[in-house]
Amino acid sequence: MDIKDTIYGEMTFPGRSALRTIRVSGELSQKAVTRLFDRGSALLKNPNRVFNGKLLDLRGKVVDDIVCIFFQKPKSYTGEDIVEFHCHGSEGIIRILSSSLESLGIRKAKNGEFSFRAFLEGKISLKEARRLKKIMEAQTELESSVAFESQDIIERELGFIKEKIIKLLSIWEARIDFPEEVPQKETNRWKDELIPLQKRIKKLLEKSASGKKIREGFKVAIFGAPNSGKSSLFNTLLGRERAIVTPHPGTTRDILEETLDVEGIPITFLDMAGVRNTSRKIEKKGVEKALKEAKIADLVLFLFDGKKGWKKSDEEFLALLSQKNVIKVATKKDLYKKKVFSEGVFEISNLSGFGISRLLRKISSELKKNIPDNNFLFLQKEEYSTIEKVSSLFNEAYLTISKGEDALSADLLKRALFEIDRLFKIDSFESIYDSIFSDFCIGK
Amino acid sequence: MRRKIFDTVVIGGGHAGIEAAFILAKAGFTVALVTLKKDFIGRMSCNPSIGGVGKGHLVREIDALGGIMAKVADKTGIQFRILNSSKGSAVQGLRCQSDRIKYSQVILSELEKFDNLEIIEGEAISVEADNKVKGVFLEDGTFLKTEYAIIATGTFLRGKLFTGFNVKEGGRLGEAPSVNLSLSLEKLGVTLTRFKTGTPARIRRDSINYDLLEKQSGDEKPEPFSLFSKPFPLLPQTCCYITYTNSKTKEVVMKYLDKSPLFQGLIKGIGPRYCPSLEDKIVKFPHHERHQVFLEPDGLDSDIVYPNGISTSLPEEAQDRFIKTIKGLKEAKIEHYGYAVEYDYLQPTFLNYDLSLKGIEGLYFTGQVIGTTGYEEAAGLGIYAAYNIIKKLKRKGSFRLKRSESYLGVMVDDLVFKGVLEPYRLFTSRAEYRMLLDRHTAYRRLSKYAEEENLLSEEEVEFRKKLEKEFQEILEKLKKTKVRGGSAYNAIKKNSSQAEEIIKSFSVENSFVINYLISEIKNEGYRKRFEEEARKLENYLNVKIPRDFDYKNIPGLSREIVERLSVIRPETLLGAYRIPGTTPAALSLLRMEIEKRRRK
Repeated sequence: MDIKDTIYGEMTFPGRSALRTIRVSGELSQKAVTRLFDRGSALLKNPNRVFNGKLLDLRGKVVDDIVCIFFQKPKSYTGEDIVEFHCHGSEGIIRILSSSLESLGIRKAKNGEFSFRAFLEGKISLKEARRLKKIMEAQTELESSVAFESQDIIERELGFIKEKIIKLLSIWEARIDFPEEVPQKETNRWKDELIPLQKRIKKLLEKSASGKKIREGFKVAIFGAPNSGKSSLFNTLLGRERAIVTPHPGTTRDILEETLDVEGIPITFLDMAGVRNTSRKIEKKGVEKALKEAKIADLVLFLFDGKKGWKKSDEEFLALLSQKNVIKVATKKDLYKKKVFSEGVFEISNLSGFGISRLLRKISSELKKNIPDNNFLFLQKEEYSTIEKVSSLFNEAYLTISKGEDALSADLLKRALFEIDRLFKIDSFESIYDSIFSDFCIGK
Repeated sequence: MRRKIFDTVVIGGGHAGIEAAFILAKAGFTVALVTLKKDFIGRMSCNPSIGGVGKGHLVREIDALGGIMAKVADKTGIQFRILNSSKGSAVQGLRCQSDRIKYSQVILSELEKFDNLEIIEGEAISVEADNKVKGVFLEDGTFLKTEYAIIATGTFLRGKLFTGFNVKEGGRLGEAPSVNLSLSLEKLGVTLTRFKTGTPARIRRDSINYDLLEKQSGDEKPEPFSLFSKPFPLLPQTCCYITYTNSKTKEVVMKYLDKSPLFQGLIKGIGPRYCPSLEDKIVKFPHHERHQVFLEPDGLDSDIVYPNGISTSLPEEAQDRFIKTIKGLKEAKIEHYGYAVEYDYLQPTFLNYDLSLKGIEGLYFTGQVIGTTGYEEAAGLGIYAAYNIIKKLKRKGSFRLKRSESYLGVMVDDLVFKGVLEPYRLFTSRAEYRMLLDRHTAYRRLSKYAEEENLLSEEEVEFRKKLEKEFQEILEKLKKTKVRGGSAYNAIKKNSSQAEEIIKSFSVENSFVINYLISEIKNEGYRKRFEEEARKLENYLNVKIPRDFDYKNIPGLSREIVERLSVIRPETLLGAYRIPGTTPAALSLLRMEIEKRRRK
């Protein structure tokens, strides 16, 4: 990535739409305007103003009627000269404009490159850049609802934890390095000073883990005997809900899976092999696999043919699942009249669509029980792994301090501090000493 | 003009100079040790004590490298204690009270054993050099021709002593400063800055009422600094006493603040935060009603007591008054008054990693003059400079210790890389890998360097190897021997309270080996983990930067850093990191870019 290049990128989403916008940032922006916009010189004299005019190709031929805006450096998003071309929504126009820009020596921007330049030019802070990334990456309603505030919460919490570690370390290191000058505490009591902070980190980790769960999505297994309507349900759901591209590529296996946005949460539905008691080796393997997958799913939809009713073999498989989170679903509602099932059984028809919406609401409300009151954080991988490491270092520190290994425990805390520093890209080691010498009267 | 030729000239007979001269002489080179007064060689100008947390570790490392401090401390110690005995082996610090006069005498007699070491009483007034050292001039006109000079002048360069507004020139009490040498160094282009430190009044022993005071004895089974000290302890053991300042003391001190050279701006040099004067403590911590005072004997037969904790530069009258407010010191007679000393030091970032001055070949600086404090720090730096000169004289490259390998390595790295804002003292917390720097492992870590240069005697080498062998054998046996529910090794790991008992049942008697085993077994897992961490970091920092590497156009690197890197052209990432302003983030960008271009 060369920051001296001028770059262009589409701000709108490719596809049929009324308007599409191309943004250019860098030194060649002015040249692009002069060559490709008929009122170029007027535009360049009037930054931040909207100009209506003609888009030209490189030979000077008019290709579209467009709107153009010029932002002069440094008063632009990236801090460089920026031009925006708002064209009509035609793929052909976009191609002509793109190739003209490339002929002028302007290259296509990479993902996030505009924001990266804004960061380098000091237009946005690291924090804002990270926040921006979160907002852009949030896939579902639920994620978007917390993406913005997550950045503040993470920085605040980790900042708080960092300050507390420095404070704690300054006390511990002072006791260690100045045993005769600093009030001592019996070593087996040191761990008490660790507990409140350890709890706070644990809470942060829990919130982050929920966020991670939401990000990676929930797994719902569609389970049941052969011909109970599993694949039909799977296809019905695919047709109704918006599919999302998961950031985590699934592993290949003979179980079909698809991730959908259901009421704001990403859910991966697994269409599994039918299960029945069998002595055939190959089929047995498939059954074992389905059971295994269903056991680690967040929720199991246990399907059975409503016309035939809940069978003894179904009951046996239910016991094998040893799962609390199971919804029993009676299928093929269109094939039978009124029937009485036990409480909590959902009746659906893939054919008529009966009961599908109700089932989806039930699924999302069951899964949302794991996310109390939007109490989760939307995190970058790097941030999550920092929190995870800090938490595990704290647990280790607790164990070692309980054994009276104070120095080792302090060293582990220091590593927790380094982890946070690495994320924030700062160095707070010396502040331990500042804290020691301002809080303790050292010097025999 | 008299002329003499030496392989090395050491200027200064303090703890740094002694150690350097001793090692160089031991290695067989001709050494001149220039000192103002022969009788004051190895003088403890502050408290009569050696070691402590971190400092005690350094003394062990000095011993492992064949130095002199540990052995002499063992011979002249009159009280030995292990500090932090309950805080884990890695941070336990050995410390002793020393007989101050005897310490100097033993040092002198040890140095006088060498035919190739000449102790010259006199003042060094100039270093002759262009881009290379040529020799050292003494005040009497003698020229000592040499290619290697070590400046180990402690607090003597343009030293000034303050007691109230009474300012005297001096290196320490009763000794003249070195003014000419400062001027000569400045002529060579050396920039000197000011630090200060202080010392309390000395009190006559017979004027103290010990009946009122808390007594502090040494350990019942004292541990020597040196692995090779036998018999030990040599001298009868004695004790210290503890007393406290009180609100009256505070009152007196506050009254005299307007006569304090520190608070009235006479002293410009910065002093260490961890060794403040009493007036400093009282002003900075007004809510503290009392401050601890340790009464340390100056020696077995000495009439003098060192009151540790009340260093001061207040006028004599104030000292007289505030000392008498302290419990047990009501009738105290002062032998001589406390003072602050302000002196020139060299910012250590001007030095190369071998402690030689950048730009002048053969000119080494070591000890307090490069911004440290403490006898042990000085001695460690002295031995470090000497090892490097040995390497030079033998044309064998340089001597360097890693941070994960020794406290000495941590200290040198901190000094030369980061520089100092206040006099530097070694703390265990400065080391990232203190679990690897346990005092028991000093010999395993460092003695190989001493053996390479023949700086340990044959008996010492053999004794060390014998213990190491015993250590390994018992370790194996512990792993193989089954006790209830597992190996003896695991039993020790789980419950260290029985460790000693278990190990002794294998007929091990040497207490060094026993403690070594316990500390090794207890944290074995962590030790391995930290070793791995250190190794990874080292590999990372050792990544080579191509000679023709173009630093331009690396996104995220500031222009300033790009310019510095382009001029300095470091060979490795470590070298880049050493350049002020390089952040860990910049380093990882650089690392990525090197990798990217390598693949192209």
